[in-house]
Amino acid sequence: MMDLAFTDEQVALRSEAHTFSESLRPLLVADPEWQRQGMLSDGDSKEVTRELGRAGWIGMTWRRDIGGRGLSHVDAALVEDMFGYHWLPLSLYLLSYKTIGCAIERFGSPELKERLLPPIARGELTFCQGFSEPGAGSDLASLTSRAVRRGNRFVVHGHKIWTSSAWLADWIYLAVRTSSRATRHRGISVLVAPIDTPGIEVRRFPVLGGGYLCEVFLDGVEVEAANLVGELGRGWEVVMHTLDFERITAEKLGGLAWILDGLERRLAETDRLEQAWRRIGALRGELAGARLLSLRAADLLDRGEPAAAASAMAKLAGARLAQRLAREAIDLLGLEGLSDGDLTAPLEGRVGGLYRASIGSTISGGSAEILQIVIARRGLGLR
Amino acid sequence: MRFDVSDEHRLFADSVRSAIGDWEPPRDPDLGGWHDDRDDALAERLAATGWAELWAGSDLLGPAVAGGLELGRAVAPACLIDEAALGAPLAVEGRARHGLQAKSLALPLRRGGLALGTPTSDPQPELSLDGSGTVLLDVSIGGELEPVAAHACWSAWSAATLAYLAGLAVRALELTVEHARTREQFGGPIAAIPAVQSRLADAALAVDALTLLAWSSISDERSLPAPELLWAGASCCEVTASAHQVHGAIGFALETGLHRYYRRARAMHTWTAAVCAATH
Ligand SMILES: Cc1cc2nc3c(=O)[nH]c(=O)nc-3n(C[C@H](O)[C@H](O)[C@H](O)COP(=O)(O)OP(=O)(O)OC[C@H]3O[C@@H](n4cnc5c(N)ncnc54)[C@H](O)[C@@H]3O)c2cc1C
Repeated sequence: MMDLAFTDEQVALRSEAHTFSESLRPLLVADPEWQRQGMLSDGDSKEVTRELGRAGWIGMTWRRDIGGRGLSHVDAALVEDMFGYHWLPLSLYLLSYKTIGCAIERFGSPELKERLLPPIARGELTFCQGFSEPGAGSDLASLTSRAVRRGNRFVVHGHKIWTSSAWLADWIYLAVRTSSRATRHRGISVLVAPIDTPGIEVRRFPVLGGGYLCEVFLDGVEVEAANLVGELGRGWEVVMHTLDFERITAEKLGGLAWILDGLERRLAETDRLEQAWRRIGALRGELAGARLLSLRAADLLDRGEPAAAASAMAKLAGARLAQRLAREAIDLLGLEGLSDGDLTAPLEGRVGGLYRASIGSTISGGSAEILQIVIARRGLGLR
Repeated sequence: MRFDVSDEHRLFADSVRSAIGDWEPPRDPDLGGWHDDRDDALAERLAATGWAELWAGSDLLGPAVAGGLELGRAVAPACLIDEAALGAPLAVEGRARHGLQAKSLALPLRRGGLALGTPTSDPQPELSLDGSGTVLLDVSIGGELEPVAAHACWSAWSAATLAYLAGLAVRALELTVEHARTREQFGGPIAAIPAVQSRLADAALAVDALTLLAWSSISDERSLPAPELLWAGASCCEVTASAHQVHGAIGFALETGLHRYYRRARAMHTWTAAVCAATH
């Protein structure tokens, strides 16, 4: 029988996450980027990542001996939803643990796991993800950054772009071509390297969400062969698995829940809730559905079942809701809904920022159209 | 009925376009700050085209539409419309746009009324999604315009605003079609992908309807065609959102400037809706 109620342990875990998140508030308020960042999952903060690590929140699903808590992905999603509700800047957490850390845990060699996972869990080692290239966005399999084996090293040349958090990260997770004969999906491998390896140059530039994205130039970068994640030439499988994790955006939904609560409160304070109840109700329904899609995808990952279509649905539902909520909130609030980046404004000036940043949510991590293709093909079996 | 733009309006549009030239607003890489894109030099260049006299208060609003389209294409400051049509920066819901230095303000009143007012408190800059120099202030209402004069002002403002919204959408679509033709993925231009074509076709439909609505306002007797303005704002927002979707990540980088269309569309729509509500 389906039972979608939280267990007592899950309720306690969320309450613990709530108390911890509240304790970070002074750190957040002191950070000007936090105030203008319109999407918490794109928020960059090394300090917050360190605090998360210190308090044992990174690597929740990993074994205890490597710094984890042995929890399920569903539990982790419930905690991330709570982090989101407090608008913690989570980019480095999500990259280092949820997408890349979990892929290393699944595909990495025992030595690589031993070396990288414990410091990730402590919040001392952070990752960015170098998949996209100027010529390879939706068509990721056309990537051209190349790694050539020389003895016990790979030598990498190439150019990555739109790399979130690369200006802060300690290491980079790279999708590269390792075979000149095989094309497209075959011949891709995944490597990890410290970002200060000679030959890596990072340039950051400002983006609409309120923070930065980066370009990463790779010029004769020497990477130890032992830093290969998964099998040589079989990196596509690793990349796809990484995306399944990335696309469960529970934290985003927590942030949207905070906006929705704030919106309802503000409309009540200003005697406008009565006329808006239908629209607020519909948004609440959409949020509840998106949360369940997200938890369902996490459950499939827990059970080791195929999760591509379910996580694409989770991601698309969250992205669409982010955009709809931003639009509706401005519509319902009127001119005060345009306020942006001012903690003293209604809803702490988050609505304007959400409007800016949410336009990227149907692009990053696979555009809406690519997610639709995944749902149609992998979910519905259409060809 | 005629669906072609007259030579006279085309000429006026050309002169506005050359007055705008390659105008760019002050850059605002630090989003979430306060910024005002008011530009006196641009206002002077426009004044030399006869911008305000040619259309403000006139029965024939062709120049307002022809010029409004050009202002929208360039994401030019909204005060160029407010001041020409209403005589002062616009103030509604306790805010004024481009109101930092304003001595007088234009206030919408119930049933299509219009009054001029003066600020009675120090204007407080409000950090805002868009760079329209929004300030929070208190205003005391001065003289109310005669209904005929108010009607003429709102007709002109509506025509120019509809055209501005259309202009934003027209340019956002042009940039996007250009991008779709040149951006290659999966072995060809993304413009060849049916999902991209569907999205661009929807945007084209909206852009054509917006442009026709703007021109139709020349002969519209109503002072504030609220339904058209409300639809136009929402529709312009959708076109600019589609423009971002088709651009992908490159549109998210501030340097491409696409974000100016997206942010201005939402701000214009919200201000327009506030005026429609206040004059209802
Ligand atoms: C905020 C943000 C953060 C990001 N962070 C990272 C990161 O950390 N690391 C990283 O590697 N990348 C990152 N990216 C890049 C992201 O993965 C790409 O933007 C995404 O894959 C889309 O690629 P593109 O931007 O090149 O768009 P394009 O591939 O050029 O697509 C443009 C448009 O064409 C449509 N389209 C393309 N192909 C098809 C098709 N077959 N069918 C239907 N429609 C199609 C798309 O849906 C889109 O609307 C980030 C992007 C953003 C916006």
